[in-house]
Amino acid sequence: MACIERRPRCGAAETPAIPEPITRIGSVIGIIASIAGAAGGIIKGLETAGGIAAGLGGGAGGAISGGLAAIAVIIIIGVYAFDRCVGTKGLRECVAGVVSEIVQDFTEWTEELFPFTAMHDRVDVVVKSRYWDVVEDGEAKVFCTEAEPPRRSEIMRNYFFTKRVCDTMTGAQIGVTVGAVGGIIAAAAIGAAIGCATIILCIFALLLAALVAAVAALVGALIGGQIAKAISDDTSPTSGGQQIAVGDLITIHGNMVKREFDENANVMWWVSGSSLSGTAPTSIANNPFSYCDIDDVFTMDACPRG
Amino acid sequence: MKLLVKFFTSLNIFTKRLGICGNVGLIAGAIAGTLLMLLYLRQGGSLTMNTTEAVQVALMLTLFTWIFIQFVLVILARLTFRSVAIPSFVNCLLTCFAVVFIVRALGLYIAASFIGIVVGIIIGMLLCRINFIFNKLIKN
Repeated sequence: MACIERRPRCGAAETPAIPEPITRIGSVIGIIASIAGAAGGIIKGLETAGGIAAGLGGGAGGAISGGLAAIAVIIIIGVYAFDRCVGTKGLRECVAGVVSEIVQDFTEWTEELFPFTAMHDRVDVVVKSRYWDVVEDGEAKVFCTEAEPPRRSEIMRNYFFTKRVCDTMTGAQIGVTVGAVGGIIAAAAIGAAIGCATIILCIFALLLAALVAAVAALVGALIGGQIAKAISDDTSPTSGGQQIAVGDLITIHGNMVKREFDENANVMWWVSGSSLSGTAPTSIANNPFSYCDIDDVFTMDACPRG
Repeated sequence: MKLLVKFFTSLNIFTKRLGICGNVGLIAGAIAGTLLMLLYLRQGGSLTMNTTEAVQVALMLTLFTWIFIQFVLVILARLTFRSVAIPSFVNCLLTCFAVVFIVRALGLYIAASFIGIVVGIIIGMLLCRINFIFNKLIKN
């Protein structure tokens, strides 16, 4: 056992992370509200200047309220698709260690109900101490094992591009558009049916119209996403055609970026290549794995030596 | 679509500075303000609310924005309901009441969206600050 003097720098990033996608939804809602506000101002301005009536009919009021909600849902899903399926330029890096956990796509119920939130297959690797500088690069958050020092080790999250996730995104985007159209029609009908006899009824109609349109858009995304998911192939992360399993000694090459989804930790997004070098011997502690053992049993990894 | 999404994503630089509370306030204020403006237009461009009606409208907006915020925080951001339910409710309640009563007092229903955004950000960030000071006092 060859544990080292230096302790892993586990814990929070220098810049605290706001959980994904709160900031994105904040900007989407803010912009839509600003555009709606500007449009409202223009309508009122035209009324003042040209004598046209600025009032909205029941159907129009419901349709606009529902339309704004549906547009927000469409853009939020678009933002998700952009985040999940358009690569981010980062640093080309290489790490090696032992596979400690595999998180496949669609493991959570929320990913099934809201398929646009699905995440690519993730392989967590307890890295050799030699790669701690890579994991800690740029004052990033560092995930660690729960073992007591000096056996505590750093973990690198590695995402394998999963085609099924992006196929699902495409399906969800088509579905949300269809659902939004239906939702806006329903919202217009609600606005007209409830009417505006009192202020309370009026605001209730607008709220219900927005709610119905948003739910219809989400149902569309669910149906579209699930159809696309069913058509797409189910894949597990592999290396050279061989399925990766917990306990495998692995070298991973990839594009390293800091991601909000991972609390501003450095992750491989995505893995560009990997190679397996056998399995960790059963004689070493595996719950959790430690660099102390992996440094010894995995001396010749496939990362270039500097 | 890609350009539009890129545009929205680039605006993150601003919203990242607001923290979670500021973003929750922004979302609640923007929704409340926009619906208030729609209510004004739906009423034919002239809206007068008495205090009871204003309270009822603010309560309905609070409930609606709070449900939406729960969807964002619990389902999408994977935070626990227990940890966010009460703080976000307070944030939505204060924001919605402030937006309704400020807009009503100024009579600026047509600018309610913008007022909502500003008021929401201020209240959200203020709540975060108060929480930070409170936690510091408890620790000391």
